[in-house]
Amino acid sequence: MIHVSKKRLDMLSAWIVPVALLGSWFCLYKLEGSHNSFVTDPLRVFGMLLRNWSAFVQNAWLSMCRLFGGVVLGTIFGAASGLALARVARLRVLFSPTLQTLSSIPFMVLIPFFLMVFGFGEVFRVSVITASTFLLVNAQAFHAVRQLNPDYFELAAIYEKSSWQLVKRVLVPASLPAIVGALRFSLLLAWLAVALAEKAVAEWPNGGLGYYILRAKEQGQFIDMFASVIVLALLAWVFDQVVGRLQRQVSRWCDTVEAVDAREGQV
Amino acid sequence: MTYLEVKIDKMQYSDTPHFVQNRGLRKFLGLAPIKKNRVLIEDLAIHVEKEEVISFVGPSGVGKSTLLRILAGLETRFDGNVNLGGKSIKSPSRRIQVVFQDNCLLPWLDVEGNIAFAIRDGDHTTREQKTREWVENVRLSDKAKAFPKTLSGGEASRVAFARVFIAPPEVLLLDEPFRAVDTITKEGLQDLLIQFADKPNTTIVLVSHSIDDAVFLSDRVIALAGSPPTPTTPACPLHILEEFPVTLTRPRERKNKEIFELAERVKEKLRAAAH
Repeated sequence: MIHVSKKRLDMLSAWIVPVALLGSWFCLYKLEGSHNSFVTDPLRVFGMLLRNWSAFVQNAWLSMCRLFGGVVLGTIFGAASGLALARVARLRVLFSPTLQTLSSIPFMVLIPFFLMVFGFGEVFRVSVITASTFLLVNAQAFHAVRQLNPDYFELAAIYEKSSWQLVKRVLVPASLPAIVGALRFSLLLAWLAVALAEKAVAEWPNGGLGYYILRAKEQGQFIDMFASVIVLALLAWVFDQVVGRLQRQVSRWCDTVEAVDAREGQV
Repeated sequence: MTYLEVKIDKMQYSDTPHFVQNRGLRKFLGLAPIKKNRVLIEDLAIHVEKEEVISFVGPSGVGKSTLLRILAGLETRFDGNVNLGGKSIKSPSRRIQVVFQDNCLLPWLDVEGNIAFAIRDGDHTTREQKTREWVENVRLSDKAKAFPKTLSGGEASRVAFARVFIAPPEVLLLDEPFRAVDTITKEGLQDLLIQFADKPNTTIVLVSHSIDDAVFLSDRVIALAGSPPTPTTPACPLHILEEFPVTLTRPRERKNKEIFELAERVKEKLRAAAH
């Protein structure tokens, strides 16, 4: 009998569902493809992927840069402002109600406003993603600090910690799991934000993957659309894996099921 | 000669939240604010001599922890003052350190990190060596990289003790430090505390539920009383019931008969006050 280690088995199991989905797509095409033009041939989609590889890579790279830049900026600004708001009552009074209200607005409606402020260009695209990340990270970092045991701040006061030491040894490590959690969640939104931002500033051929998808959809080129969706899904998966690893790393101290599993080397 | 002195004229505690008192609808309608203040402490004075070890004992909820917080400079909402060596204490500082009731370890720092937290900022030269030394002193070398969540109650207490001993304060305040630990660990911690108490210029104030521990460790045991109001009796502010000097020489035997007898006397007094 072939011996397969548990870890390898877990890795293999992860492929079952995607392969099954591909299989059912294939079956669906075989059954319906002849009389329904919305069901595309998976083989032709993958063929398109291989044929136009360089175009996909180029567009994906552009989108990835925008996404990365926006998400990093949004996380830094969001975390810094969240921590500051949590600690300074005056800032809270000034900004919290506005931020709270902005968070409840779907950010898509803000796109025209951003266009007005930043113009039709790269700054606009990145700023849309920054804003969508900012609001989420800001709220999570804020709450992580507000939920802390007040004794920690008394302990820091007894040991005469400077503000900088308080940030470094208490505020940042305490809120990092929440910040990275928010970052991971906001990545899902960010892909949507990329697509919408790229759509708003239509540019060919450097529109980016999001623009590519939406354009293909409008022109009814479903093969092109599906091919780029596959690229986007792969990219999203890679980003999520990387951030997930980061999340496990900064959450090792937490009292959660996930942290316990991570300490014991479980999935 | 008095070294540490706390004098509290009055400390009030508001039972009603601020917003109910004088904001919102009540204010809008011009109603009088609800006042439900109760006097927690009134005319209390405690003097501690240099290098003395004193204990506060008394029933739960009497205000022992509040008293300790006042001594630490963590609680300032009262009329009166705290003096240390002739200087008024207005805010917390490393001169007066606390072992908190729940140890108060920072969950995101490992054992080493928590112990090193007490070292002054910028003091990098001896940081690592001192930390390692104290990790060993409290026998946690194999847990040096462990996070607080994975520690047992006794291990967590040992970390909290190492954190105050690594950068020794002039006054050490302990809030029920032996509450969550087994007997053997407790004896180990008490030995560490006694070693620390024997050093020059160290004054210790202990809050304890165990009267036997209080008598064994202290030079003076202060029995406290006070109670919230009940439907039949008015509130009684925190006050000193009686002070019991412990004149036994050190080192002391844990099973000493005199300790046992004095502890019984303290308990008798507290029992009588409870009725």
